[in-house]
This record gives sequence, structure tokens and C-alpha cells, in this order.
Amino acid sequence: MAKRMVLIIDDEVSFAEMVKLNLEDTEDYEVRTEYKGADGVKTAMEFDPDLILLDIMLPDKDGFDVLKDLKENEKTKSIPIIMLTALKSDPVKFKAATLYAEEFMVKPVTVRMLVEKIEEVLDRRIVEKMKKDKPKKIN
Amino acid sequence: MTGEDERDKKIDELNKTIAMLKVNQNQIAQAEKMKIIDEFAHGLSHEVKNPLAIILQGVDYLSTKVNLADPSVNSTVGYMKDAIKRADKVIGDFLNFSSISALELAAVALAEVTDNSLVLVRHQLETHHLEVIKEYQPGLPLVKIDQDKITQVLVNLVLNAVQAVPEGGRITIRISQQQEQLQLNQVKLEIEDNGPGMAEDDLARAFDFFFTTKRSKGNIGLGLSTVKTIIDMHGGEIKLENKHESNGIKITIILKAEQ
Repeated sequence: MAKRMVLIIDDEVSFAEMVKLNLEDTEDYEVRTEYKGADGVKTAMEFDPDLILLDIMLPDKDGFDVLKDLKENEKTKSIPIIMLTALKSDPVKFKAATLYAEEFMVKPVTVRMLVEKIEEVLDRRIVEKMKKDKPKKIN
Repeated sequence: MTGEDERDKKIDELNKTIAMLKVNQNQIAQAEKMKIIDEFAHGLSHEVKNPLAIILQGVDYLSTKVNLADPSVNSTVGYMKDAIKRADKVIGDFLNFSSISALELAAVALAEVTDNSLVLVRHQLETHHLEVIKEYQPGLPLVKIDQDKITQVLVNLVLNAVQAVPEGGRITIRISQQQEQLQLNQVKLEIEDNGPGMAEDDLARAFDFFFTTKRSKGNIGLGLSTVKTIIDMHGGEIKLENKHESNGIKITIILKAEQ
């Protein structure tokens, strides 16, 4: 099976690198990391990942702005995004949902939780794509 | 009405207004304080949760590289994960506590809010086979409260009672009207259980932050301090005491009635 490509955009360098290490250790993922929002958007366009893990508090721009940039960009709009944050509050979750993040996770997360969520989002995306691509019945 | 009566009436009205203003002033001060705590809690949360997230990822990584069949290695990894979870819970509870910075007040019937709160804990009451006796005075005035926050208070207090009362025990909830000296209408809510009661030293510290007698059960001691903060923000009063006539705890909450 081809490796899943994941982009992590998180200013916590140690966290991003630890998640990369853990995901790549399963041998199912190829991971890139970016620590700034603008760099994340640029890499997303070049790397074309299957999924993006996006932190909310970034140094150069708010994670929600990055989310908006990615979802409004023709090249990256269909990439599923999981928002990762250290903050837990419903308004934040709501704001993320309204801007079309596929999922929302609160740190700290175990590797198992993270992998399960990534697989769930990617599987869901495959099913949605299959439904969309299904040929219409001709009467 | 004589001139003296007229004057006394005016003085009474003035005193009543001053008392209400003081209550409102306290509520505003409390709300301001909670706003600062909320901002602090969010900053703290971010600064603590990120390192916890790194440690958890690190522990997960290392646990794939060590021999987990070795019981001491396995339990060490388990202890580390438990410690991370515990620290995360402390932050989570603190965030919940700090989020009570603003009240959404509405005039509601306290009896109704109490009944709705009891529905939320019905499962726990049934599991412990506890009897709930309700004694509500008829014709009570409405209270101006944040319904969700007072529900949080009631659920918290009833769950505490559930833990304290032996199986088959009893919880009595009483709601009545009372008038204080300045004739501000108030509604009094009492929750009594027939558990073993509390040591006097523990009672004195029950509302202190991080005070708990149930730390071994994962409790971090923010439950009652949250309850007290919510009541304070309503300009109300709360008292916790051992019952004199029999075993058990009695909690008294006084809330302002809609004037």
C-alpha cells in the first residue's frame, strides 16, 4: 500500500517532530513538518498531502486563517484537515467546524488516537469520493 | 400615614436599594475576577498542554522501543501515561472552573431547575438506590439565575451526596422563601443527606481550591470551589455544615428572588 502523506503545521517543533517520528515509525506515513502558517500553506501546495494536521495558535497567522487559506485555494481545498489545539472550548470548535475542518482534537493525544482519527478521516474521504464519482443511472 | 411613618418607609426603601446595589457591585467584581482567571487559565492551558502533548508522544514512541513484556518497564510506562492524564485533567478542570466568567441571568423557578438537575443524575441515584425527598414550599418567587450554572451547582452537590450516602440512603431537598432584615426576598435551597458527615477541619476547608478528601479517586478538589464561585457570582450565599440532630451534611444556598 502506498504511504499516506501527512503535513503537520505546528509551531511546537518538538511536538511536530515527535508526531512525525511516531507516524513514520508505523511505516504507513510519509510526513513533512512546518512551523509557520504561511510556510504550511506553501508546502501544502507543493507536497499535496493526503491530510493536514493543523495547530490553531501559530506565530505568524492564526490557524483558522491558515485553514481558510487552504480551503479557498483550488489546489488544497479538498485536502482533509484535522485541527489540533491545546485549547478546549466550544466556541473554538464551532469556529473550526464552520470553516470546514474535518476534525478537531485537543492535545495531548496518544499516537493511537491520532492514527485512528487520521484513518477515519481518510476512509471517510474515500467513501465520499466514491459516492461522488459513482455514475448516475440512465433511465 | 404620619410623617414619621413616611420617613421610615423611605429609609427602608433606601436601605433596600443600597443592599441591592452592594449585591450587584459584588457580582460585577466577581465577574471581573473570573474574567482574569479565565484569561490566565487559557494561557496556562496552552503552555502546559503543549509540553504534555510532547511528553505523551515521546512516551508512546519509547514504549515501542522497549520491552513491555518486562513487568517493571510496563508499569513504568503505565505510571508515566497516568501522570500525563492526571496533569491534563487538572488543566481541564481548571479551564472548566475558569469558564464561569459570565452569567446569563433569567428569572426562573428554582424548583423546576432543581427537578431538571435531578433528571441528569437519575442514573446515579438509581444505581445507589437512594431516595430523594422533595419539600418545595408552594408559591415561591422566581429567582434570577443562570440556569446552566445553577444546574452545574445542583448536579455537583447531589453527586457529592450520592458518594457520601450509603446505599439505600436518603437525600432531602427543601426549597423555601425567606426574608432577611432588609426585606430583600430570598429563596433558600437546602440539600441534606444522611451520610456520615464530615470532619470539622475538612468542613472548614471544603470550599478551598484543590482541597479534596477523595484525591485517590482522581478528584482534584475544584468541585466545591466551583460551586461556591458560581453562588458568589449570583450574589448568593452557601453554607456547608454537619447536621446537629442526626448524621449527615446540610448544604444551604440562599439566592436572590426576583424583586
